[in-house]
Amino acid sequence: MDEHFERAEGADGWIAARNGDEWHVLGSRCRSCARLAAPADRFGCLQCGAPTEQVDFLPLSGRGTLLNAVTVFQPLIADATVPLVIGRIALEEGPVVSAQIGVEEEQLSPGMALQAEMVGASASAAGAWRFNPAEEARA
Amino acid sequence: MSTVPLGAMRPVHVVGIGLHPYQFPGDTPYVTLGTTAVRGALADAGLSWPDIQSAYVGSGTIGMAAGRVLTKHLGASGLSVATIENASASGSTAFRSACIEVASGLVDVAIAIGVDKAGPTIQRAFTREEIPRFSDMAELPVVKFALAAEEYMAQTGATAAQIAAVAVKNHHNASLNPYAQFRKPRSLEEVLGAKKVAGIITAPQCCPRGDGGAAAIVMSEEALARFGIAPHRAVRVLSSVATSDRQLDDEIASAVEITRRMTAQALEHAAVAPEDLDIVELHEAFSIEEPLYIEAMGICGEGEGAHFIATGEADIGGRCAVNASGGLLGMGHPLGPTGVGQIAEIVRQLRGEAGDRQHPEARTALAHMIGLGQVGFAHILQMDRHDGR
Repeated sequence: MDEHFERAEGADGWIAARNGDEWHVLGSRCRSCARLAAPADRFGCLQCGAPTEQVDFLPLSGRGTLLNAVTVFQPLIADATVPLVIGRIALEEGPVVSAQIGVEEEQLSPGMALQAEMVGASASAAGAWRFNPAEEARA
Repeated sequence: MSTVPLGAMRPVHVVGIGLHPYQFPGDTPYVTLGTTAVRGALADAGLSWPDIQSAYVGSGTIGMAAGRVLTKHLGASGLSVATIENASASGSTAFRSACIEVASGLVDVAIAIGVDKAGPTIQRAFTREEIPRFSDMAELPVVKFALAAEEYMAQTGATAAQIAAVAVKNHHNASLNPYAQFRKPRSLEEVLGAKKVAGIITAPQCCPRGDGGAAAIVMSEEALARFGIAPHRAVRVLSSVATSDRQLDDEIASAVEITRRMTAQALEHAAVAPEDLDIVELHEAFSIEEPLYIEAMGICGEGEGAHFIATGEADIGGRCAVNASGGLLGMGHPLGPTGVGQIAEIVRQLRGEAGDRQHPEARTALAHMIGLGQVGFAHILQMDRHDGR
């Protein structure tokens, strides 16, 4: 990974990296089979089984396209505030991730451009990724 | 390199089945859940515990040595005992292991047992995987299946009501099953109007947590003769296939691919076509799984699953009875027992002993199971033809 980037502390270091004050979605690319993964393949390539030494970590753009989304109505895990929206997002680099969306389901439509935004981060520890409509993320 | 499918080894037959009713989490000791099922299976087969040479105990929640701690309460016969944890597929894995041990010739009589109690302290390996997720909520199966339901509706034109019809059918079947956790039929309006969980998935479209026990005894043909088992009460296990993911990043698409691949292989090994299946017991922890999987199995065309179910083709008495037991939604999903309970329902149906929920002329059946991780198991069972049947 580019020397300017520093992975987040602890386990979050597999989904987020920092370049100064700027947080980036972290992914990985396998040098053996070229699989691009997000979250990063920490223990080796999930596709071809190449060991971690053959997996490069790299920051991703955080830009993606919404595939679909649903509202979760029940607090199914501890500390969840509902309703909340979960979507499947095809990142522009390729991987498809499932993540929380920052707006209500009514404001979304499949194919919409989304941008990952880090919320609740401290100086070195990552918070959580939210995906928001791209215009709103820029605002 | 050559491999031998189960059906090409020594023939294996299921000769005894037993269940402890699936029930909401309660005070019944796990030993009672398990021994009730085992004693039921022994009585059904006309066997006694010392006749059993090997026991495989599928259990996800009880803890270390669940199998031997249970089986010691059935008598000190000195049999082989192994405990198997494989998430939802623990019971299916136990059944496959029992079949393989008989088919290989290592033993003549083996039992698969499933037993579990829903507790607050289930440890799940993925919480110790130390790979963070973009959202913990997004990792929950119900959320993944709610997203899959959206995709399915967009691709096939199926409606939320057609998907809810899975729960209506399976709760109806469960209302006829004395071993089921839910014994009350539910109307489409009740299912659609129930508490929303995620997306279109309402509470009756999610399987319950529960306690239960299930057992199935398998034996060789030599043992059938030795114990004088009546031919019409022995059900042949034609094939057994086990597999896991080949594709990544979309767990639901992978479960469908696993289903397609392992069902095709199990059918091929059994020399059975999808349209020959009279009974299918499949893993529908959530309603949307049923249409996805019956399409992948080839029971109906691609994109036709929800319509097939909503129009009654998957009913008892329809073209293929899917989850005649009530399935995971209605009969329940106590985990370890679930896969063995599927075998119990199939054996009951193929013997013609299913009473009010008997599917007419049932001869060939598929048991399908998906376990967290994820893994897949497919078994084809068939009643041999007797008396010109």
